[in-house]
Amino acid sequence: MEFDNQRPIWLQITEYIRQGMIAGTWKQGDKLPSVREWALELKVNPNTMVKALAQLEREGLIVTRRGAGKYVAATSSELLAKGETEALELTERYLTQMRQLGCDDAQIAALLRQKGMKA
Amino acid sequence: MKIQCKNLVKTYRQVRALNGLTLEIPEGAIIGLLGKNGQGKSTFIKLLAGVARWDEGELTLDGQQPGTATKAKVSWLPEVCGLDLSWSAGKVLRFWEEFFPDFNREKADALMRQLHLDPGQKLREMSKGMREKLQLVLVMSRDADLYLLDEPMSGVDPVTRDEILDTILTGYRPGSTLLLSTHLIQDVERILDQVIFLDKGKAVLQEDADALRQRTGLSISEAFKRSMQA
Repeated sequence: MEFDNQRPIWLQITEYIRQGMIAGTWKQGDKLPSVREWALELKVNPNTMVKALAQLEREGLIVTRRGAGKYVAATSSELLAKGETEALELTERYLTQMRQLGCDDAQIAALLRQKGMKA
Repeated sequence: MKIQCKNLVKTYRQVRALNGLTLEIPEGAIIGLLGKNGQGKSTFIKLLAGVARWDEGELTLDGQQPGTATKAKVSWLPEVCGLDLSWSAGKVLRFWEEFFPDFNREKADALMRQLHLDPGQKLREMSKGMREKLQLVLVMSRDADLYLLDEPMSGVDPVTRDEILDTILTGYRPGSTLLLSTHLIQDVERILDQVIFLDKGKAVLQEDADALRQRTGLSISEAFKRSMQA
């Protein structure tokens, strides 16, 4: 995995694992690699890995079973639903702020196109 | 191993290598000691290794001054390796094993294999990159509380550099402290927990690596450049 050095590495690892869950690489109930195995595979410091996994655990995406390791807790459809809700909220927030700036819908659309949006 | 130092000063003749260095380094982290050449990185490492003495200030490792007791728990090799070139890699490993009670032979053998080093090969016959790798095997094979790596990747090709980084990660013992000095910041970005920027013998910044990225939106190497310009 290639990291963007300008963003926290632990955050990028959580995104990577979350995407893997959405894509179905890891399914509900699957055992995840150990911190050490992850760290060696992704070539990061084990402490960074611990931080990333702790975040996923806080989000309820993975669970630790005592002495048995970490497992995937959420299904990909749950994750997708969560992702869609977040995307919707983010879009609404963006539109509200743009309208507060006085932009009408045509201007917003033009700006998005300017930033590379195709549709 | 926890490191504490306060107003540390070390002068070589006219040069103030350390000019009031104050730091608290936690245990259980991989820490990058980052600075241009000649800013005091190697000097600080020598003081921690217990092979040089400071002039003013305080320095303790887990509450103790560097000395015989701390040396048993600190794994270190100098930048320039003073080993007999007629020795084979295997002989060096046996020597280390006899010398250090915490030397972990299994770990050493595994790292030798990982780095494709031949125990039968003499040091004289090794390339610079191979010697750097052997040196790293020696440092990382001890079950120490503090690992000191002074410019572990200087002058090696990118492939060897990646191998060295992997070895540092494989060999790192969770819970121990690993201090790595380098001016090649970009190469080590991804393995650091914490960074210390050293400039003119002082620490100008100490921060969690990911917190620094989050705060500035910059890579460590870019943040370092800007900090040196400021």
